[in-house]
Amino acid sequence: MRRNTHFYSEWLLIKKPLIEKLHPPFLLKKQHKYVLCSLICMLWLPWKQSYANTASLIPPDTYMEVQQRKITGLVLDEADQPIAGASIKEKGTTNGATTDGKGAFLLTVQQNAILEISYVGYISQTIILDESNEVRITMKPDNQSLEEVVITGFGLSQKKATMTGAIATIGAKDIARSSAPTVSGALVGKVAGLNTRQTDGRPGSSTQIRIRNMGNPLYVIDGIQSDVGQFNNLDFNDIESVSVLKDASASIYGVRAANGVIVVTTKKGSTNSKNTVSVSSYYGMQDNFKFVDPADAKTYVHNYVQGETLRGEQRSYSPEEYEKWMAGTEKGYQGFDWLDYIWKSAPQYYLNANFTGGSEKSNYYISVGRLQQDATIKNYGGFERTNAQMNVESRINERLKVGFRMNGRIEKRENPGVPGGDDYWLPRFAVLRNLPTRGPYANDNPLYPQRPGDDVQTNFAVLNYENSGRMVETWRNIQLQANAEYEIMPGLKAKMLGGYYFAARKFDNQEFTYNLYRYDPNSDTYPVDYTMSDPYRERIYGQVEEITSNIQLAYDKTFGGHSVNAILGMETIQRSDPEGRIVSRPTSNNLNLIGFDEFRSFDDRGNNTQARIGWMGRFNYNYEGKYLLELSGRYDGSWKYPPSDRWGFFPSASVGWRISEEKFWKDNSIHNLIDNLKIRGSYGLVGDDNVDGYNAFDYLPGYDYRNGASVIDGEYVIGTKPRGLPVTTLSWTKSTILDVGLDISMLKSRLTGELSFFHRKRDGLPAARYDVLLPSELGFLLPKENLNSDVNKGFDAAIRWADNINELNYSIGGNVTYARFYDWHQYDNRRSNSWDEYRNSIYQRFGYINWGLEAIGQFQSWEEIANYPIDNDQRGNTTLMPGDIKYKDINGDGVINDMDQRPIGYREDATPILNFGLNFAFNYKSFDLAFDFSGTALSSWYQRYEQAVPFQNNGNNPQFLFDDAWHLADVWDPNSEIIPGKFPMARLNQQDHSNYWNSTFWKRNVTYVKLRNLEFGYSLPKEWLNKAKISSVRVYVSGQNLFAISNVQGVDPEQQDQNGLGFPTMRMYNLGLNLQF
Amino acid sequence: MNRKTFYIAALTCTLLVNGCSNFLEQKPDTILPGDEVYEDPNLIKSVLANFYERLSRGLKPNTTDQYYDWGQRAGGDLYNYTTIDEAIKYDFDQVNSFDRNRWRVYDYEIVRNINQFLQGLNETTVLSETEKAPLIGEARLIRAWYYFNMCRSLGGMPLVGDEVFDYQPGDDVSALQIPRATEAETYDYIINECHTIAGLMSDQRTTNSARANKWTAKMLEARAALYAASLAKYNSQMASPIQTTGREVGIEASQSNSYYQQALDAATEVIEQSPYVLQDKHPDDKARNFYEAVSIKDGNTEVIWARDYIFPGQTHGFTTGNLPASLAQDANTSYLSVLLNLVEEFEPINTETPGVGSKFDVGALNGTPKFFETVNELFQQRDPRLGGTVIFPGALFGSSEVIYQAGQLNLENGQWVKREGAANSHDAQGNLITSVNGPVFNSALRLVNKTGFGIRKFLDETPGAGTIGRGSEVWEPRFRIAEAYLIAAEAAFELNGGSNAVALANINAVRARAGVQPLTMLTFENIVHERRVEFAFEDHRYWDMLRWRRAHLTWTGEQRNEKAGRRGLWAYRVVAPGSSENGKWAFEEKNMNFIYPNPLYFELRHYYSELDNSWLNNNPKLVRNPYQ
Repeated sequence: MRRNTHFYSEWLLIKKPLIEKLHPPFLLKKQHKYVLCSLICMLWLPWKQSYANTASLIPPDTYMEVQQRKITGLVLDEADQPIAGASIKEKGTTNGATTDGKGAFLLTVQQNAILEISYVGYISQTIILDESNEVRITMKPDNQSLEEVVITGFGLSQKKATMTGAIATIGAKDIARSSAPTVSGALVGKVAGLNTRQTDGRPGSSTQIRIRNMGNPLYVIDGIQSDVGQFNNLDFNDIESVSVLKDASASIYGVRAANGVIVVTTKKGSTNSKNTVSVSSYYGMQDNFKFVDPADAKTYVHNYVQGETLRGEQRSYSPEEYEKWMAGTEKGYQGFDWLDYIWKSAPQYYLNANFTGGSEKSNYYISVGRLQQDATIKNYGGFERTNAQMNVESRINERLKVGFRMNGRIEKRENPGVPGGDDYWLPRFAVLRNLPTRGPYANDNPLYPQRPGDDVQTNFAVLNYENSGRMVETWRNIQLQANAEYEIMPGLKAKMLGGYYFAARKFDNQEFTYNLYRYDPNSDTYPVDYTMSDPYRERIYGQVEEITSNIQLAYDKTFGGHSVNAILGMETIQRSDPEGRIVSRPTSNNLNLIGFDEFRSFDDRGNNTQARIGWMGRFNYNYEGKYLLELSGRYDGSWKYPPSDRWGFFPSASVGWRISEEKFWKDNSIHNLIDNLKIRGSYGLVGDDNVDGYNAFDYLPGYDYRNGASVIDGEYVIGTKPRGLPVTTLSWTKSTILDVGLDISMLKSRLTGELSFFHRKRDGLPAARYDVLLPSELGFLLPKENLNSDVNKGFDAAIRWADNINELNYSIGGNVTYARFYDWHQYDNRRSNSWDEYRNSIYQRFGYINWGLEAIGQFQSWEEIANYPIDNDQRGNTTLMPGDIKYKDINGDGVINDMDQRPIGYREDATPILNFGLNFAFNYKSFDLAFDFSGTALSSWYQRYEQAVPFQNNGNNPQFLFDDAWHLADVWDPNSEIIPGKFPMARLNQQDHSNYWNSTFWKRNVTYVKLRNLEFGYSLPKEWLNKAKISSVRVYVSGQNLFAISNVQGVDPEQQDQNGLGFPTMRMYNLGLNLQF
Repeated sequence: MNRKTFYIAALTCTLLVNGCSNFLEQKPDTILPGDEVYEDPNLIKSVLANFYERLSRGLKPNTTDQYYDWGQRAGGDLYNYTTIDEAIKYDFDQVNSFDRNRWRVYDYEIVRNINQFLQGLNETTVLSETEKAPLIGEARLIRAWYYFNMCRSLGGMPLVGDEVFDYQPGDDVSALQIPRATEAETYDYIINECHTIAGLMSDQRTTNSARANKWTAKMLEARAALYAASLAKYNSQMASPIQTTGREVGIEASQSNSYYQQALDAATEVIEQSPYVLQDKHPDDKARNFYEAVSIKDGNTEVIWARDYIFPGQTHGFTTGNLPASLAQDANTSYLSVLLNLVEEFEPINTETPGVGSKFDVGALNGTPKFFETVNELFQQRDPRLGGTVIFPGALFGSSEVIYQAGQLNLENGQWVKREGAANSHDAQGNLITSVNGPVFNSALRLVNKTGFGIRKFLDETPGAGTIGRGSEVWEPRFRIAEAYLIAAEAAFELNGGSNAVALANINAVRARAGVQPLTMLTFENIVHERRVEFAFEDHRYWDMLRWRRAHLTWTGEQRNEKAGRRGLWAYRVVAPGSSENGKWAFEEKNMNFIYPNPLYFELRHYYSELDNSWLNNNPKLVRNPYQ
């Protein structure tokens, strides 16, 4: 009977009584109104299961059926592959059945029976039967099991056991254990093969992620190629799993996959599962993990006086004033702590509620979450984000399944609109730029902010909403996605996916005019000292629109020991991101609208439409799960290239051998030790259409509109410039990736591990030929060709031990990634001499060599300087004093200069070469504890500017730089004893001094270990909860970035700003709650 | 939904995405095919606008986004003003040598682009021949201006002509290699081009002098001829002339007279026939008059060619960067401090030796200072052009007085003792010690004056012009009618000696407008002096010193050479209650070596820029410059 009803009738059957209760009867008189109402119910009310279990709402005729009934069912894995041999039991009886090769079973049970389904490697399920006699059960894999299914994109999934590519995965539970505001932060230290670094910790910021240091990866969310912002701003409670495609298995993504692919799958409901409501929430405080500690007034004045003594000219402080500063008690001489004035602890909170469940034919997952992170700068706003996720799947009939996913979010960043491009710069800079001897207010009267020093912008007293304006940036994004899957014949399926993404950006920034004052003690007045008279308003309206489609045919068949899986598909992606930017000079601080008379400029960025098409195919074969083979390829086209060079083919192949499946292994006692061992290798070609040296449409001749402009005839005329020679000789940049590795599991799967070695070579990086020399007087450059290459190689590994001691379950895991970049073949490698080759060649060498002098100590005395044979400062050692840095004369020519530089460090502005993580989890009765360490090595930080040069920019320095410096015993007497320290003597105005040359003294090779996450939870006993009809309650405390062991002083080891003023990462302490109904 | 429905849906989707076979054919937002450009007069003008922007700055060799200026200009990098004896910046600079490549002009892309433009104009039918002529003139003038700027920095360089070169892989490259022309040939090319195109162009004034006309061409002709003439004469007079064997650098002495004659003829034609006249609108306030003649475009009669600015659209930050701190409108102030070297060059009005500058007599501050009733009387007795060029202590900007006060002069035990403080410091009685404007000693302290003088020329009085958001609309003059007079005077002097009437009449025309005494007898030093004060900060001084081959003699790098060192003059207010001098002013000359430790040092190698190695590699027919 139900077969013949329309789709919505299934709803009405259950919802009708409810609808009649909720709505006036007239609404229901016509058929289409039923549709309307049921749609409303679909959207607003949880699914039918909850009502189905409410006796009063079930149509009475369902009670009239016989007491025994026959149940037919299907047991499937997450990829909808049948599970053979699963056992089905009627609860409380011995009645049971086993699934056949198609995953089907037949069982006769009591009317109100409860079914228990179990299969090794999967989480057992309990199903309460409803009125239907057909059930469809989706089994979820048990975490860490070999049966785990790795989803690598739309329609692409594989069992972990028979996977041959280097693919790392991380599940929901491990992701959720983080309080980072963005997803990238949750992956740090948990996945082998990722290099990470968070160089900026402002609200809403994310962590830089590189797969094996290969550059920007491609992100794929629920089968749709997305950008890094879409990835980072998912609510990570909505993420089911993240897979990282590290090798040529990425070739299925073709033209954008050369740097690896990160595949995200969001949660969905399971069929035949009960409705669950989960609420997770935390509230916490954040502090700067570590930020510059500026010298206090006493230290500053003391050292400034010493600086003037050493310089030997004019004095700024008289001895009387100096004494007052040293005493620090008299008004006006107490000093001011800018760090304390600007920075504070700030809250972060998070709340997510999700609803999930499923009937026999449909399942759903609906989630709403909200995150708010305040800045640790006083009254400085922050970041907030609201996410909504809705995933619905429905089986229309035996053959057809449709699904719909919606992911929406609103992101908002708000802070005072302060001068300069980066609104978070001035509060950081102010900490060192302002002197501790001068406070923010004239005569300490908080009504009158004063000039803090010679820079009028750095007074934090005006960097707030009231005085300097407001910046609000909002992103409103929605990703809609529909998919369908149709079984044409057994084993052959057709799949379709359509995605539409729309993001709207509104950026609104107003900077006010304001006054600074001074105090006139004679008249006791506060005259205006400075007026900032440049009002500014900037508004950006932008949008991103992306349309994706993906069509596939998938064939899956097992005959005998042969398993075959083949996929053929096609994908199209089109993206455009038009944007308009208006800048005006508002007539008043209080005006919010932009008028034409205030217009300063308008900038229309254009559509920037991108388009890509790809045909893809993949073929998997395995024989008895022992011999594994995968072939995949993609034929991809990108709009960037000329029609003749637009298409590229990217094939890859991988093989695997599970030795542990061989009979000789299974029969041997070694099987007890090593129960799974797989050796795998892959090799393939992937593309990259986004490399330096070629822009879209470079193949076109003609003219560039909007290039330059000038004022002629009294009006502003936008310029048009002839383009250079069209680039027609450039084609694909091709990456070949080789990966060899093994997966192992030992001691009854308690110890698992994986290890991969990889080598990626990119060929065809754009460069110009040198052997064709075009005279520069022709006025154009030789077009670039695919000539150079580079290499990334290294290894990554993960190991994990999981076991229990009585009721204590625990796991300990570790992972490491070593990925090094090399410049490889260079078309132009002519060098005029061996020094030139040593210094300038990048042919087959480590990339980004960091050059500098080698510091070999410090001068200890005047005699040592006088007798020193080497010209250490290029001034005949006349500028040296005890404590100054001594350099190694590498070439032995008696003078220290650039010729004495040697490689002294690693790359400074990228993710480190070595990343590692350690993960611990313990569970005892109702208590759980988990923590992760993460660390890096082999990257460099150049301690410079404010972090090294005393009184840089006429400002202040970190306290440690003065405390630990060589200094005079009597700061007023240049001839007094010089007392040793660590840093050179603090001189005034000597930023060019030899002490501050680029050397190993200041350039550090950074190593650190951070306690990244810690979570300690307690689940309330079930007995307490049953009365309240709550299935579980867990409370926890958690922390992030709690401490670090590091070899850099005074700054966050992850930051990269040479002046140490990068926005630090946050240390967080949270109190959290998980509830489940 | 059944199988049929699914297939229909699948088919529809496939057709939707694949239906248009040109899915990958996206339309670029800003790329226009060539023919589209020449079908629309507005786009033709747009191409011209691109050239006008590019004629004062270019890309640095081997970069794609770093630009350098072709010389000093208000809208450019202010550091350009600090490289000679006119001004310094506010913080420490250890520069110890000229950068011979700083203003090296080498940008053949603009030549190629202009030649493409000329080709496009030739072919287009949307314009009549009479409409085309002035556009062709403008494009060729910009090309000649480019060659002139290149030649003054590099000497003779390859002359490409009108050809638009192309290259296909496999083409014979050697056919494309053009050797350097001689320096004389290059100047001849510029002079001839200007001579020819003058006939194509309008003789009417253009809006704010932004577009080139006949008189622009004539001025460039006169200036190029004058440069060539003086190079021919003075280079040959050197002990060892700077030249290459092929004369890519170095013009024969014998050619100097004919070049002087060409310069004189062209300049005279501009003076006699052009609509431009020396501007004398405020005979009672000559300082104001000079400021307006140079810096104000409304009703200006003097400027022949300039780069124009307008708000909204294109403005520059010269005013923002250089307003005195007390008048600052935005975060930047006081970048340039004008040197005493320049200030004392402005002659006293009542001097007995007109035509040369003189030092200020201020006594000795720590012994017997000279006292002055007002802070500005010393400067008001000088050539009024000083007031239009420099902000001196006590000068008015708009209606505000600008105070440059280094400190107080106090009387202690019968001795005069100076007292200096931080910027904007006051004593216990509330008397100012050191002005918010400076000058102050601290060499690292930015945003405050260092010499006691600020810059007035090009500084904008318009409200809001000193903000980063609005910026200034003040133009950058390239040619003024005053230059025509001084070119005529110099050429006539060189041709006929010091007392000839033509030379005197021309230089005295400028001096009369300025408000200083006429000369009765002309010396070469008078010409050097006149050009220095008239054209301060207008990108003449450096090139003049080069073409006269005086740079290495003046900027010798010696500490004891006053002309090579950088100096300031600091004002102190007498605060000595009870003394008869109380409230008066005293001055002290101050060496700027605390902030610029190295005197200006110009060596012979600096007379010409180097040819970049990459150009030499690409074209083996190029020869190097001397001292390279």
